[in-house]
Amino acid sequence: MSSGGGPDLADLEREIRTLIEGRILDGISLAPAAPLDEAGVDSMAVIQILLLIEKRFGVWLPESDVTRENLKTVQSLARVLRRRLAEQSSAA
Amino acid sequence: MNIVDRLRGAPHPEAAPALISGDGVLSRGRLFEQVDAAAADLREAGGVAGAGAVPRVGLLSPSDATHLVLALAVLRAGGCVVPVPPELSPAERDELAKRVGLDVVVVAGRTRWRGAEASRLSRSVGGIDVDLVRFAANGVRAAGGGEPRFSEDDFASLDPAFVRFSSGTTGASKGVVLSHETIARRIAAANGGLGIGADDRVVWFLPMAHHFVSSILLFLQTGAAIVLAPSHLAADVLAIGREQAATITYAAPFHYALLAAEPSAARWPSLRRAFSTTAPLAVETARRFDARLGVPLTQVLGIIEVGLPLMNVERAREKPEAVGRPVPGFEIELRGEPGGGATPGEIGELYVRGPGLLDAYLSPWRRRDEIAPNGWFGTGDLARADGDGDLELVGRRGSVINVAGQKCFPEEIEAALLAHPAVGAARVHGEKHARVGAIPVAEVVPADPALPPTEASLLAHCRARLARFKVPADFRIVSHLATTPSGKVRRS
Repeated sequence: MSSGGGPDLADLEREIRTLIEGRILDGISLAPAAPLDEAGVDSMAVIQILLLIEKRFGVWLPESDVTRENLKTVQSLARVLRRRLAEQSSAA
Repeated sequence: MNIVDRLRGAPHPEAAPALISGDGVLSRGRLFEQVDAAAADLREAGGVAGAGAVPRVGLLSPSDATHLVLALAVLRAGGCVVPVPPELSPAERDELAKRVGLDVVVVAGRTRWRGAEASRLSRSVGGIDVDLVRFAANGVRAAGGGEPRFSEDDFASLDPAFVRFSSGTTGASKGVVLSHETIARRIAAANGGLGIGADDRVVWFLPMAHHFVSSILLFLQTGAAIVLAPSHLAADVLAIGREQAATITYAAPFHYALLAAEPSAARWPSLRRAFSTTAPLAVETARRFDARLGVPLTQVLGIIEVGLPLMNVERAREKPEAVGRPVPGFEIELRGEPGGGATPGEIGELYVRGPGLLDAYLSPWRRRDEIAPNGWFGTGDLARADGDGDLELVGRRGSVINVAGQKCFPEEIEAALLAHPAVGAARVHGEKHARVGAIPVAEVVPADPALPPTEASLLAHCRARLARFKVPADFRIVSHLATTPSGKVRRS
C-alpha cells in the first residue's frame, strides 16, 4: 500500500478504534474489520463519531461521506478520513 | 377509552398494511392480533395490569415492529408505557426507574437492563422474546429513593397511558404524563396540520423511544402505512422510499442533509411532503434537499408537553426557516418581558393553547392547570412573527442544548461532573456547532488546584453516567466560575 503522504492508515485505524471503543461502545473491543452496525453503532452514534473525529483530527466528514460503505468498519472510516486529511493538507 | 381500541376502531381494512419492513408487511389485522396475544402474555406474567393502580411499565426495545407491538400491548393490558431510550447510561436508567417509580421493565432485543432490579424473567410475549425486569416494589423503592413523590391515586385518576421521562422543555421537571384521552386529542389536532391519510406511506427511521404519539400512533389512526428504513443513511432511505412508493418522510435536519448530498441521480417521485423536526432547519439544507428531490422541507414544531402546535405547511418552499402557523385548534401568543404582548416583528416567548396538552408532570407532581394557567403553556422558545403571520424561532429562554435533535440540559451534566472527586465546581454550556447545532462544553474548577482532573478521567467519569451525546466535547480547567450577585453560577 502506498504511503502517498498524509497520516499512516494503521495509525488512523488505531485512533478511530480507540475513540469508538471508549466513547461509543463503552469499552467493548472492536476488530478493524468488524462491522460497526453489528457492534452497536446506530444512527445516533454516527453523529457522535463525526464529532469525535472532528475534535481529534480537525476535519468534519461531509454528508456525502456518510455512506454505508464508509461507515462499515474502522478500516473503511480510516480510509475516508485519510483521504479528507490529505485533501486538507494539500489545500493548505 | 383505551387508545388501542380507538386506533383499532379507525375505519381501515384489516388487510391494509400497518408496517412495512425488511421482514415483510404487517397488516393492521395481524398487528392487532399480535398486540392482543402480547397483552394476554403480559397479564399472565403479572405486574403489568394492576388492580386500581396503573403500573408504570418501562419499555426498552429496538426501534422497530417490536417496539410498536410491545407498547400497544402494555397499553392494552392496562399499563402505562414509559419508553426507556436505549442511549441512556445505566446510571440514567436507574434514575428513570427511581423518578418514575417503574414497576417493571419490558426489555427486548440485544440490550440488557443493567441496574437496580429485584428479579428477571425471560419469556415470550406475543411471540417476542423479552426479559421482564421487576423491582422490589417499584423502581423508587428498589433504588433506595424512598416513596414516589406523587400519589398513586392522583396518577391513576388521570387514566395515564404514557410517561415520557425527559426533562421536558424546561429541565425543571421529569416525566411528562399523557392520558389516553390526551393522546387521542393530540393525534386529531396534529393531523389537522400534517394532513396524512390512508393512502400515505411514511418512511420512518427516527427512534420510537422519542417519537411515538404524534407520529407512529397518528399513522395507525389515519391508516397510513409505516415504512421502516433499514437505517437513516441516505442510500437506504432513498431506496426503500422509491421501492415502496412512500409519500411522506418525518425526520431531523441532519437526515435531510444526508439525503440532499446523496450522489446518485435517483429520484423519489412519490414523495409529496417531507417534515423536518427535532432541531432548527438550516435554510441551506432545505434548499439543497429541494434541489435534489423537488420537495420543500416543512418544519414542524414538536413540544413534548404540547404535541405539534405549529407547522410550516403553506410556505415551506419560500420560507423553509419558518415554523409556520398554528395548526387548527391552537392559539399562540408571543409574550414580551415582563408578561406583556410582543408587537409584530418583535421577539417574545412563545405561548400555546390547544388540544392535547400534557396531563401532568410526574416528578415533581404538577397538574395541567398549574403548568398551563388558563390553558396557556410557555414553551421557552423565543419567536418572531413576520408580516404574513409566519413564526420563526430565534432561540431559547431555557438552557437546553440541542445536539442534532437530541436534547439535554447543562444542569444534569454539571451534576454528573460534581460527582467526580477532583471537581470542585462545574459549569456547562452549549457551544454553537455548524453541523449539529450545539455541543456541550464544560468548564471545571478543580477541587484542589494542584491536582486538576485529567481529561481522560473526566471523560470516563461522564461516559459512565451520561448518554454519550451529553458527554462534553471539551473540558476547560478554570480557576473560578463567574457568579451572579446572589452567588449562583452565571449562565450566558
